[in-house]
Amino acid sequence: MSNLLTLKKELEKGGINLCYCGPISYDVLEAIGKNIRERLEKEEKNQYVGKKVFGLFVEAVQNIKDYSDEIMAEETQVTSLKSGIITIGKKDNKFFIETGNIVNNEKKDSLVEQIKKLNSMTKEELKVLYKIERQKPIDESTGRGGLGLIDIARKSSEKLEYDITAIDSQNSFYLLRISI
Amino acid sequence: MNSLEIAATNTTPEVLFDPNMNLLIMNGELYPENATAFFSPLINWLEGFLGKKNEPITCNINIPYFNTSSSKYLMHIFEMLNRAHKKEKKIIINWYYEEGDEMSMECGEEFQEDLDLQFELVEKKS
Repeated sequence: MSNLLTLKKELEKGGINLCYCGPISYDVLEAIGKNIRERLEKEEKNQYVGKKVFGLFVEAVQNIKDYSDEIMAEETQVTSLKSGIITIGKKDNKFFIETGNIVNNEKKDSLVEQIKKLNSMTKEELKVLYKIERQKPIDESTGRGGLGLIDIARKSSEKLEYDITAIDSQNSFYLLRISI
Repeated sequence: MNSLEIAATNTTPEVLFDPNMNLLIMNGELYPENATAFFSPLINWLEGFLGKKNEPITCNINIPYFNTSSSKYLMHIFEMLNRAHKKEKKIIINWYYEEGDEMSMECGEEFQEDLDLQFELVEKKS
């Protein structure tokens, strides 16, 4: 019990008011997303803040579902249930979303390269890139549109923050922080 | 040709494609788990519809939120309409957004910028 209390206190200290850790199904995304949106639409003066946080939450969670290499269980024959951790909080009057998931070490470099590229671009350049990528057909075998991270970079108020921590020779923990 | 009618769910809009009225309506939020599964019937229906008729078509879109994979499919549908427009078909797309919802208005603008057909941004007064 004391561990859970410590965890709760740690989260609160970091300004985090929602945390989910475990296998991520679309039902989880829908339920948590709806909850955050409704809460923020009531609490925030600007009713569209809730919608913005919600939109970024959807893309951030989808990002874990697409790229996490921690597979919990075979959900269906086609897709498998990916695992990760996601938090939403508010600090210095600004919302943030953090996601964490396991990635294979071989993917590490391309991931960092992609984020660095997005971080080097202006909002106008990101818009152009978004539009170019949007014209490309969707990968029907994976269902991935490849727009999620670009959209996140466009909507976040700061550059994307990330951290990659080696776990062992095979895997690393990938953390992404989005400021809103 | 039959109409295409799909009821709304939590993550997909109501769809009403009416070949007699030449009216295409999508109404509601759009972030399905599987965008391909949702859009395939719409795209198939439109392929048949656009090949046949030569009357003015009105497309009313009221989608307050959509995710990025749906954005790709919406663009695909608008491009189908844009190609028909280039073949002398009269088409108008009305993009509805709530007054004050800048994000939704900008989403409409970004489609408008990439299309040649008549694309109207229509503010709904709250």
